[in-house]
Amino acid sequence: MEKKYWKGVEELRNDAEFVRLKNDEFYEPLPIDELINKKAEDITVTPRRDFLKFLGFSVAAASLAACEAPVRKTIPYVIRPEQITPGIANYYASTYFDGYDYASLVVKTREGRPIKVEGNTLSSISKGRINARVQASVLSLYDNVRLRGPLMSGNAASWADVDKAIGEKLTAIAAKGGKIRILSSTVISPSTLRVIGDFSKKYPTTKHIQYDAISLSAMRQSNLDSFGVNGIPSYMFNKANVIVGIESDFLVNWISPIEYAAQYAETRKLDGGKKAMSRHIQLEAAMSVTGSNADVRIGVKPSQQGSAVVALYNAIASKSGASAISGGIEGELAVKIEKAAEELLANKGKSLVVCGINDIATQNIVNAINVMLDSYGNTIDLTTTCNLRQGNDAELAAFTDEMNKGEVSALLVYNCNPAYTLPDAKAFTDGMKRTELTVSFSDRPDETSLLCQFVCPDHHSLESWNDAEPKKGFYSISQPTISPLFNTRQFQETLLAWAGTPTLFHDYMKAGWSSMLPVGLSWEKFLQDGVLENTGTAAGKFTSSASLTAPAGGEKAGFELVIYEKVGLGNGLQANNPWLQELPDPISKITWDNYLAVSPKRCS
Amino acid sequence: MPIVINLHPFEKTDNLMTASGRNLHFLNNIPPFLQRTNKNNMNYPYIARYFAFLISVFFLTIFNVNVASAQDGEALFKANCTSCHAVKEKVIGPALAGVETRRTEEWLIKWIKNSSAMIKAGDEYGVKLFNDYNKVAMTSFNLKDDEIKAILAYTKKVAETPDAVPTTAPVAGQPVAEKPIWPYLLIAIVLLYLIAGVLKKVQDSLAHAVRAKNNEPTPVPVPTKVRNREWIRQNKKLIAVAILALTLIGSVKGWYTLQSIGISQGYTPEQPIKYSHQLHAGKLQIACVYCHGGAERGKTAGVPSASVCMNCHKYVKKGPETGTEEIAKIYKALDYDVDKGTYGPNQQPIQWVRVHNLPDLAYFNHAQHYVVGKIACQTCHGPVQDSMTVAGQYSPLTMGWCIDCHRKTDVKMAGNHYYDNLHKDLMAKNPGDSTFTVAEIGGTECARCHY
Repeated sequence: MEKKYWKGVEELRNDAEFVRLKNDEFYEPLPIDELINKKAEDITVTPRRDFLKFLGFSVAAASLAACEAPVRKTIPYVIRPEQITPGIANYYASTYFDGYDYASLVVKTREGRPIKVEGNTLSSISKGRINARVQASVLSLYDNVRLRGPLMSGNAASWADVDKAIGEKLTAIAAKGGKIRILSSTVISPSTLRVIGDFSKKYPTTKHIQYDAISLSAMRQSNLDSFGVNGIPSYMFNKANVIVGIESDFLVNWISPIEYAAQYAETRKLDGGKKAMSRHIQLEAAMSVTGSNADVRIGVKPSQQGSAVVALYNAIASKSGASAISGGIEGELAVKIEKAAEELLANKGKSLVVCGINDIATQNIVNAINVMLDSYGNTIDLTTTCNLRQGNDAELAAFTDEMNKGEVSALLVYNCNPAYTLPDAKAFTDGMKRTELTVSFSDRPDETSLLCQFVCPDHHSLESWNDAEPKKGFYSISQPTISPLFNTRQFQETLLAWAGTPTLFHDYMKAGWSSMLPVGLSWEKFLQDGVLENTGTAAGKFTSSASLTAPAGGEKAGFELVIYEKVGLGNGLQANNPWLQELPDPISKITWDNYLAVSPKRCS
Repeated sequence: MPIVINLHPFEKTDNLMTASGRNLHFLNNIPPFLQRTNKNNMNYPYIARYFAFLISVFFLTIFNVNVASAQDGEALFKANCTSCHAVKEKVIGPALAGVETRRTEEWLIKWIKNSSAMIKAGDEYGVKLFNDYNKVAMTSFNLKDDEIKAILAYTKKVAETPDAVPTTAPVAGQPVAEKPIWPYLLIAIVLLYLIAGVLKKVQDSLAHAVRAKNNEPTPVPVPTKVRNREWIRQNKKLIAVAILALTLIGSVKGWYTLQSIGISQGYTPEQPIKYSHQLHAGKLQIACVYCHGGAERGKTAGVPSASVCMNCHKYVKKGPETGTEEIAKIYKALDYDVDKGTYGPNQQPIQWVRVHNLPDLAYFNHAQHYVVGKIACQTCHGPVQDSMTVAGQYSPLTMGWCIDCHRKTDVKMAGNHYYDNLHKDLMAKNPGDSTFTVAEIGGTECARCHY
């Protein structure tokens, strides 16, 4: 029987309206009568069509009248650099990390300008893949919104002036022992952390606070409570036969989606005589890309999720000889969770439970589940911690408190937009009014930089030297692929200048690396490959030592609002990127505008 | 028999011509060795002396006895010194004219053999030279003393010879401004019209005279409109044929005109610098890819950057006609100070006018054709080195022209490792066929060039 695809719910229900309009080419009525009857001055309908019509005619007339092809020029270099041949691309290895997505890149450049980013196949983390947001990031280099140079109180200034003014202020603050805070998104660059360390040596009251727009702080805290490791583990989805994801969009949005998607794909491909695929069960509220890939998707209300996790724990605990936690779930959902538990237990040591709920109690339970399933050491590697989310909610709360009390004298904001992304942005902006010195290193005017006294724009990542340590022992490097387009300066160089040791960050980084490079690997080779990996450490076994309590809250009746990350937006850093704006949502297929997704059952 | 002619007292016999144009003096005094002899009596003495002279001249020229010095100073100078020195002007090193008056021969020999050692030792003049000339030391030359002396003799000789007066050779190959011919055509047409009018008048008067003689009455003049209508009625076939011919010719001409829209064959725009391909590629035999190196690397051959020009024009600063002015344009682009030999910061690229413009919808790769296909540049770009001063488009560059060549040309697979596997496969599939055209290996598929 031939498959019939419905073009919407209307067709399924065979609405009268739909049947009437079905045969028209356009769903909305065209203003044909108006077009015929309208006078020339009356152009109010479809002005776009008329514009194109007039434009087309005039261009055709002009070109016919001209009858001569326009003169074209060919303008070569004055002095052509040896490595550049016009028409032939040069490729450079680099890294992308904006505080959210990590990928090891190969950047394609033509005549000294990057035009395309692709994945670096030498990286065992990103395995030669990148995602939509990284792919679109090349456009943000050529963003017209970017700041052209430093700003002092909203007016353009020179670097010399800005350095002098800030230097004076910092000295004054340091003299009276005022607190200096560097607020940034997660920094995974060992060299940058060293630079901050050097800055802290000059100004001992400095503290570096990292926060993530979408926080995983609960997981970190939970790992610290359970295992004594303040970090996020590395997951190995390729080693798992059964994967249970609980409110975790790990294929596109969670921690290291590029890596997880690559690993996940390995278990789903039936190449080379493989007969079995992995089994993926997803528990979530809103349909996500990960959920759409799952073999079984169990819809769970946000208020029910805590109980669902407890139910899963109890189901596994009852068969593993551990005691149950109070709470749990009844009904149909319970049956499904039981089934999932059975499958997990059947694949002990080859199963994985991941949870993206930012609640410590829930994370503790999930850790305990994984311990019971013998995942640590097999599918979870807590020895090689992942550095991609280092935000700490508690620290952040304490910092915001400090600011509001007026205790912070200097605030340096790097690679984040707290006035927009913080949950309590108002408290933050109020606190900023009480801070003596506020500096932003943002490369474009955003909500935070507009409120800062000084803006010292940083280079774009494609213009920067940098390095990255996404996982413990795994390094990748970032090199500039274009000369800086504007009068910007690298954040690290700015800090070094203020710390009194003005050095080029390239020299600083190279000097730091000279001792860390293994024997036989030259700096040039490291730059060429872009990655350096120490894959020797084995994953260790862990046992949970946290006390398990039921997560707070229980199932509620009524509507619940789920706010989720979109594939195109991520944490919102590239919200003005046209390629991402034109990217339709993979689930709803809607490209423009915001929308509210409601079940049709609710509407009737 | 000598031919006799009466001469005026002052006429000379040498310049006299007979009515048929033969020179009298020569005819009266034919040299013996050219006189006709009887068959068995060859004039050995004269012929022998004549050939002996020829042979000795021949041998003397091939064994060129150079009475000058045992070493050839000129050859040595040209081989060793010209990369940095000229005799009358500064290049990289100082001008050598009069160097023997500034330094002793002994000093010069020591300097040429190892100048760096002398500078290190602290020779005052040497250090001054070193500092004055951008701190670039002169290379050391492993030459014998008499070789150096020969070079110095040569430079002295050149310094003493006056500069050659530049010849005003006609500038070859410049497009001559064509004289318009339409004024002449117009005058011719007007003249013919007038002549026709005159002739008609003559015919009329003659007819009138004939009628008068025969006492015939003058015919009633027919109005023009009636006359024309009559003519049309009588000449319908002619008119039909004429209209048909005009329609055919008009449509054919119209078709070709429309077809040639967008084709720029012969396009030879004026360039910002009067660079002559005929001189550089033809006379000086510089290889095409020396400047257009992109042709052997990728899809665009490109136009050389000004730095390539400086490889030679650092030394060649002047030309006979327009050279000096045009070479100065290169220096301006690079902000090059000729006297100091330094480059400034205000550089601006030379804006050449592009000659060959392929539309963006078509992909053409130079390297594939030049390196793999081993096609000479002249095949598509014409005899650039023979007849092009200003660069022009020689070929139509239409798709039809490309496809035509692809259908006719055999791919050079012999000894071409690029095609090793393909050649084997093709030979296996086409027994008896050993050469394949580009079309046969798929060169005329749409996606080859349009993707």
